[in-house]
Amino acid sequence: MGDREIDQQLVERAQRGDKHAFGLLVSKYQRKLGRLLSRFIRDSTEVEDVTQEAFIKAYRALPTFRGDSAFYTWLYRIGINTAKNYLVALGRRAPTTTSLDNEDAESLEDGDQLRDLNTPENQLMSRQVAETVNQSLGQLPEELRTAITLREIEGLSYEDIATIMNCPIGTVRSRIFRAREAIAEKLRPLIGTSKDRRW
Amino acid sequence: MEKVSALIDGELDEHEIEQQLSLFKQKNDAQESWEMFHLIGDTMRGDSRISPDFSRRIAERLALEPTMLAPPRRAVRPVARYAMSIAASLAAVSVVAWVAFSSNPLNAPQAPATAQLAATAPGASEQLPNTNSQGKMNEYLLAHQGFSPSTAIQGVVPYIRSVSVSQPPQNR
Repeated sequence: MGDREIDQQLVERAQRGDKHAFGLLVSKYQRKLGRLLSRFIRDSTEVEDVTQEAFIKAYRALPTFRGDSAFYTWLYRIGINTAKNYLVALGRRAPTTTSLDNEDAESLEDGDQLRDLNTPENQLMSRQVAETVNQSLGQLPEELRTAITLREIEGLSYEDIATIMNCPIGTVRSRIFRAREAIAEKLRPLIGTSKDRRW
Repeated sequence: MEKVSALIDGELDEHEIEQQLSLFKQKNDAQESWEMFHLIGDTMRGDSRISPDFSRRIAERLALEPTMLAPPRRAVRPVARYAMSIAASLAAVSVVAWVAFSSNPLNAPQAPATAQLAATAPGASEQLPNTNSQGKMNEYLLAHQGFSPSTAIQGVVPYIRSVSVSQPPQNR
């Protein structure tokens, strides 16, 4: 079952009153949406505020979401409109729709055009997270590093990775999990325990 | 937690997904792994611009929101949707075909009758109305409508006049 179907299941749970399910969607899309909105808004604090506002608007509008489009398309549309309204309220000029429309929002891939929007604290934290992830990745055994890279960077399915690495799909699944766990172990002391982030 | 990892990658089947999503409410470490694994993936792809405590802040905001209770929507699986469309189409075609064939007087019963007549009376078939000519057949049927068993009563009806007689009571 694909990403879109999983999102749809989470949405349906949230529509039945499960805030937990919506929290999982927030965890999944917060950085992608923040990255998109950073094209509209320069200041990092403002980006986070608008991202947060977009999620709250999406939560309130959940009863109207019928699943005709993918959840992230719908969410990104709300995010873009929230950002534009924010800029209009501040008297700033929002980017035109031709410079960034909803379809572009789905395929934002360029990191170099993004503005550096971090405050010193966020910048430090983000740098530490990135360094830790990269260091941990470098310390992984070759087969774990290859498996997680093919999955996260190349976006390959387990079946394709199994073919490339010449091993069973179950082994791919196990290797990717072990790689993630190894990196997560290094990250936990840095970003704190999860107990203060319960939905 | 391996299933959380597989869930993120969309590599669980439907049944496992249901199970796993239900577990998130009960097991905090499953949710923590979900968040952490997404953070790792996003960081590897260069998306680490949202501060790590963003989830906590938005969780606080969401806690203040009223619980969402959208009216339940009946989920129709794609396969069921197609099957229902096909069944509805077949049903519609069947009804139309049945109505068309059952109401057309030129259908099935005509052929055996014609064949029987042709067998018992050679040369009579030339005198029968041409079954391919609907106009002639209609004229024929119209002319003989009164002799049709199914319309026997109707055929008499135009000639019936209702008459009633009332006699004054006789005094003795």
